[in-house]
Amino acid sequence: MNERAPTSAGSNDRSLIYVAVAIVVLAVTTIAVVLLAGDRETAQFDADSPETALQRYLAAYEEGDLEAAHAYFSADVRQRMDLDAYQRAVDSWGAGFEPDRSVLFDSKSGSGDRVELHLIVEEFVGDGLSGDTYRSPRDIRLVREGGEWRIDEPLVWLDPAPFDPTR
Amino acid sequence: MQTARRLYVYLLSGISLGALVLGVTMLLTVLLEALGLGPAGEGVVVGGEDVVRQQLTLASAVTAVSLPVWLIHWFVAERSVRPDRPGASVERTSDVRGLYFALAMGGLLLAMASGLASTVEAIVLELAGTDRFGRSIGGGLALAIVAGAAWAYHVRLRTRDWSRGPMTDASAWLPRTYLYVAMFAGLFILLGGITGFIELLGRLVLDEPPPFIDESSGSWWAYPLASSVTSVAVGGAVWLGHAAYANRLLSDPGWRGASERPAKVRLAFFVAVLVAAAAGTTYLLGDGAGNAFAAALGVPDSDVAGQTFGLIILPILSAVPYAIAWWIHVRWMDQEAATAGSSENVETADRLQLYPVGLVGLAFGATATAWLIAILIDVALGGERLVAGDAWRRELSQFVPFAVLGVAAWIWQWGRASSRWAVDPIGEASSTTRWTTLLIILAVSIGAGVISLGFILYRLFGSVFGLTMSGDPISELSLPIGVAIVAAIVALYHAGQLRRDQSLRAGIETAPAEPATVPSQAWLRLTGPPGADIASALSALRQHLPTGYGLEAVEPLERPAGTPHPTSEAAESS
Repeated sequence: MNERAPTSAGSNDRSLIYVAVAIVVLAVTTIAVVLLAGDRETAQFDADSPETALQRYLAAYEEGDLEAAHAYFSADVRQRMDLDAYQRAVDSWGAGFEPDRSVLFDSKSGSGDRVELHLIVEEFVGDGLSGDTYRSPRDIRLVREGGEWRIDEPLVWLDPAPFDPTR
Repeated sequence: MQTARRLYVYLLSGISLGALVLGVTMLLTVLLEALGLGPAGEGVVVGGEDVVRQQLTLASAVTAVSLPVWLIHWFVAERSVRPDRPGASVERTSDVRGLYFALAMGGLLLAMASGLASTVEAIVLELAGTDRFGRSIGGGLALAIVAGAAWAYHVRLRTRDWSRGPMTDASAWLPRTYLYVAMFAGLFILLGGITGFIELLGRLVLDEPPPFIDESSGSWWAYPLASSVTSVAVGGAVWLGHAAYANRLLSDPGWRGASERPAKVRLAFFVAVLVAAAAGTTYLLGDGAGNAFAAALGVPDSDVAGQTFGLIILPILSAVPYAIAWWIHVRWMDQEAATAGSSENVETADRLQLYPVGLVGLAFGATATAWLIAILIDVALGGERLVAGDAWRRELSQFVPFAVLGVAAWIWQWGRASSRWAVDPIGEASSTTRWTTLLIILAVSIGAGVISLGFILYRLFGSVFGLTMSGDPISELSLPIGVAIVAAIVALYHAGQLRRDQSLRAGIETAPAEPATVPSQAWLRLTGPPGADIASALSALRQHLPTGYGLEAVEPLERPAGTPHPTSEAAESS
C-alpha cells in the first residue's frame, strides 16, 4: 500500500478528459431526450370523472374565464363565494408574479360522491441562475352534485382562497 | 506566496466543483424523470414542458459555466502534485490541499447521503402505496450518483496522494477529521434508524399508532418505516464504509498505519461516541422510567391515553442500541490501547472512558436535581406554576428518573476514578483528562450559578426598588434557587478535588529544584567473559573515577565462591 505509485501525469490528464466527456455526453443525451420526447402528454380521464372536472376548472382559470371556473365549485362553495367575491379573490391573489408551473396527478382517495384528488404542483421559481424547481403536494376535495363533479373548497387556482371573500 | 496561490486554486476548484455537481445533478434529474422516475406516473393535469425546459436550461447553463472553470483549476492543482514536478511533495502535503480534501469529501458525502436517503425513502413509500408528497426518485438518485461519483473521484485521488509518501500535521489530520466525523454521523443516523424500527415494531405489536396520525388511513406506519429504512441504509453504509476504511488504515504496516494508530482525532472520535451514546442511553431510559413513574403517580396524559405500556417499554428498548454502541466502543478502545503495548495508552484510554461519561451523568443528575429542588420549593411555598391539577406530579415523574440515573452514572464513573486516584494519587492528579474534566465542571457550575444568582438578585432588587414584576415570585425564583444550590455543591466539591490535585502536582513540580542534593545517576551494564571476576573489575574501575563519582553493583552478580557481595563493596572513590 505504501509503495511508490508510478508517475501518472498522463493518467491524471486522461481522467479529467473522461470527466469532461462524460458530462458533455450526459448533457447532449438529456437535451436530446427532452427535445425528441416532446411535451409531456396531458392525461386523458373519463369525461365524468373528478379528474376531468378539475382539469376543466384549471383550463378555464388559465384561460381567464373565471365565470366558467367558478361554475366548477360546489353549490356550498358558490354560496359562500359568489362570482364577484371570486373575482376579487383572484385579483388580490393573482396580482403577483406567477411562476411556470405544471400540475401532475398523483392519486385519488375516497369513494362514492366524495373524493380527494392528490396532486403535485411543479413550479419553477426565480429567474436565471437563481431559479429552481419546487414540487409540493395539493389535496383537493370534490363532491358529486346532480351527476357532476364539483370542487368542494374555495380555491384561487389550486391554492386556498386567501380570505373569506364574502366579507 | 505559495499559500496564496494554493488558496486561490483550491477555493476556485471547490466553488466550481459545487456548481458543477449542482448542474450535472439537475441534468441527470431531468433525464431520469423523462425516463419515468418522476414524482408521479399518471400524467399531467395541466401545464406543459415549461418547468422541465426551465430546469434543463438552468442545468445546461450552470454546467457549461462551471465545467471549464473546474477543469482548468483542477488541472492546475493536479499538475502541481505530479511526482515529476519540482516541489510536488510540498504541494501534496500542504495544509490547504488537506483542508480542500476534507471539505470536498465531507460536502460530497453529505450530498450523496442526502440523495440516497431521498431515493430510498421515495422507493419505500412507493412500495407501501403511500403518498410520496412530491418526492422524486429521479431527483434523489441523480444527486446520489453525481455526488457519489465526485466523492469517489476525490477518495481515489487522496489515496493516490497517500501512496506517494507520508503526510503529517494538518495535511494528515484535516482529512482524518472528515473520516471520523463521517463515522460519527453515520453511526448515530444508524442508531436513530434502529430505534425508529424498535418504536415502529413496538407500536405495531401493541397496536398503538402515534396519536398525531390519522388512524383511518390504515398505513400510518409507512412514513416511520420509510424514515427508519432510510436511516439504517444510509447511516449504516456511511458508518460501515468509513469504519472499515479506518480499520484498514490501523492495520497497515507502513506509514499510514503508523500515522493512524496514535492519532488523537481517533481518540476524540471514541470519546465523542461514548459521550453521545451514554447521553442517548440515559435520556431514553429516563424517558421510559419517567412514563412508568407518571403512571404510578396516576398522572393522566390525554394525548396518549391508553398507551402507557408502549410509552414505558419502547424508550427503554430504544436505549439498548445506544448502550450496545457504548459498550462496543469501550471494548474497541481498550483493545486498541492494549495493542499499542504501552501502559500509558491503557491508562489514557481508561481515563477517557471514565471522566467524559461521568460528565454526562453529572449533567443529567445536576440538571434534574435542580428541577427537583425547584418543584420542592414551589410545592412547599405554594408557587403558582405547580398549583393547577397534576402539574407537580408530572414534573416530578419527569425529573426523578433523570436525577437518579444521572447521579448513579456519575457515582459509577467517579467512584472508579476515585479508586484510580487512591492507587496512584500523583499519576491521577497529573492526568490532563482529569484536570480538564474538573475545569469543565467548575466552569459550567460557576457559569450556571452566576446566571441563576443574577436572576435571583434581579428579582430581589426589583422588589426593593418597587418595580412591578410579572409572574409569581415563588415560581419565578424556584428554578434559579435550585440551580444555584446544585451549582454551588457541584462547584465546591470539584474545586476541592482540583485543589487537592494541584497540591499533589505542586509536590512533583518542585522536585526538579532538588538536584543540588540528589546525585546524578546513569545505569551502566558491565559484562565480561565467562567466569570473569566482575567484582575485581568493578574495583579496578573505581580507581579511575574522577572525584565525586561512584560505581556500585545494584543487581546480584554471579560471583566466584568466597567473593563478598558486590553491593557491600559499593563505595565512592575519593
